[in-house]
Amino acid sequence: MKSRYDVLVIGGGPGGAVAAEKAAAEGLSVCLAEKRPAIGTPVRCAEGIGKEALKKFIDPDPCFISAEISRAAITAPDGESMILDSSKCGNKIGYVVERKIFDRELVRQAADSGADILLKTNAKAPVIENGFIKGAYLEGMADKISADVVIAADGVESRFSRMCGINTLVSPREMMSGAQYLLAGIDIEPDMNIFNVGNSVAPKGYLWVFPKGESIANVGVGIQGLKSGEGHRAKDYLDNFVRKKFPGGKIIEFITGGVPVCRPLPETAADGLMVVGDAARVVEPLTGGGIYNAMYTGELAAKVAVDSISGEDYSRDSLGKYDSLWRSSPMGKSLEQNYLMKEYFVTLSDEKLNRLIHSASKIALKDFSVIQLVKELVLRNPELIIELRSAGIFMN
Amino acid sequence: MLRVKRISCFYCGTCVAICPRANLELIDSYLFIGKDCAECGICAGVCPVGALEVLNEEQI
Ligand SMILES: Cc1cc2nc3c(=O)[nH]c(=O)nc-3n(C[C@H](O)[C@H](O)[C@H](O)COP(=O)(O)OP(=O)(O)OC[C@H]3O[C@@H](n4cnc5c(N)ncnc54)[C@H](O)[C@@H]3O)c2cc1C
Ligand code: SF4
Ligand code: SF4
Repeated sequence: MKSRYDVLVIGGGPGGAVAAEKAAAEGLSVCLAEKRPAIGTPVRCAEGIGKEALKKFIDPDPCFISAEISRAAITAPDGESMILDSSKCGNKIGYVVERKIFDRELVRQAADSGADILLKTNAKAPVIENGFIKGAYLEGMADKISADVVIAADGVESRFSRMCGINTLVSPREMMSGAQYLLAGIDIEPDMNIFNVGNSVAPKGYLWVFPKGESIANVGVGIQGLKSGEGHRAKDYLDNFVRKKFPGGKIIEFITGGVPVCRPLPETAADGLMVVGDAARVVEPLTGGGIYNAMYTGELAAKVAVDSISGEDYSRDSLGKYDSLWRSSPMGKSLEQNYLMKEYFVTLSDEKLNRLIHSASKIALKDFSVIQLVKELVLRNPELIIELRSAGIFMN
Repeated sequence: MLRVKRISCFYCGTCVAICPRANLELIDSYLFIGKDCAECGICAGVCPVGALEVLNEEQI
């Protein structure tokens, strides 16, 4: 095993795997260090991703596709639902994947491109020389690896960048506290994702049912961290719901996780360092979806690493191209828009949520995005436009 | 003193991200509690399953 690489990637989730793959495919020497003994487990995800988004990074192999989704339902606090159907946008819109296999396949792609993979290897602290991040002190399969560029893809914990002096702290108000069961033997629509909202179901968050087959689904809940406490934690809300809706369901997996729904880090590049994925806090704040954004930022970071290494310039100025690239991309812009939407939606009372969801029982969306849905809601509830405007959201 | 109930912890890292003192570290399935704890209880509040608790003198 070498001790010097062009690029060291910390974390083997989708962000790190894609960064490692793309950098290695361009001929750089790449090492990916992952602290866990096996990629992707335990899962910290409801496993939903858009079809087109997934295809940009990997062929949809049946080995990691659990379900194909063509509809979504939003269920109001009073139990009424609004169905979003995709007939206007070419039917099958998304997948529910098996992240344990999906993440491992992404890492396999990285390995096939030439990246070295170190499992059970924890990045303890950065190696810093003249103010530049020059690698990491590790524990596990190696003690220290030097690199010209380090890509921090260490997920929600984001400790590595914190040790490099970047403040990655998330406030409890902007951390979703989540718990999820994989429930077997339940009666569901296998092609429909369900989102339940309301303060008694999931305070300032939502509860999801994402099918993983004919009678099996990820049933989980995310609540605002500030709303969590003894007797009213994510797991309590989940148990309440399951008791009522799926009393016969059998729990065959239980996971927990946190989703940062804050704004992205103000700086995602420093001398010798780029931060991608959840570590950079680029999760969609309204939906909590972060797989695609992690892969997308991972790819951009790899591209910028290639340029910086060929120009032998690893400074913030050079790596900062990564920061401006993702911020000005459609993804970066939608993050800001959806952040403001989230800030608006968490203020809504159950009565208001009921009214909005009752305003249409079925909506055919041209494309399955938050913005399309909000546009449809505005058409039916014109007063929304004023409220959104005062929340800083302008619909054009 | 902050204590983690090992069997209840799902090693998800949520608490690590919100500790204002960077006092928590998750290595694989083991949550390390550092020495720089303010006993503020923020982590204990947000944990999805209640695996963390701040104990007072008598409980230790
Ligand atoms: C309950 C829940 C439901 C979700 N549902 C969805 C969903 O349906 N769709 C969606 O798109 N997104 C969802 N997300 C978000 C999604 O899981 C993340 O956005 C995505 O995994 C981010 O990828 P990443 O590569 O940035 O980080 P991660 O996938 O978290 O990977 C980070 C990796 O880094 C490793 N690591 C951390 N620190 C170190 C270290 N010091 N040294 C070495 N390795 C380290 C970790 O072990 C981990 O493997 C959900 C999240 C949660 C918690
Ligand atoms: S938030 Fe709770 S379950 Fe998750 S790692 Fe911390 S103590 Fe464990
Ligand atoms: S009690 Fe406060 S300082 Fe101590 S580990 Fe938890 S969040 Fe950090």
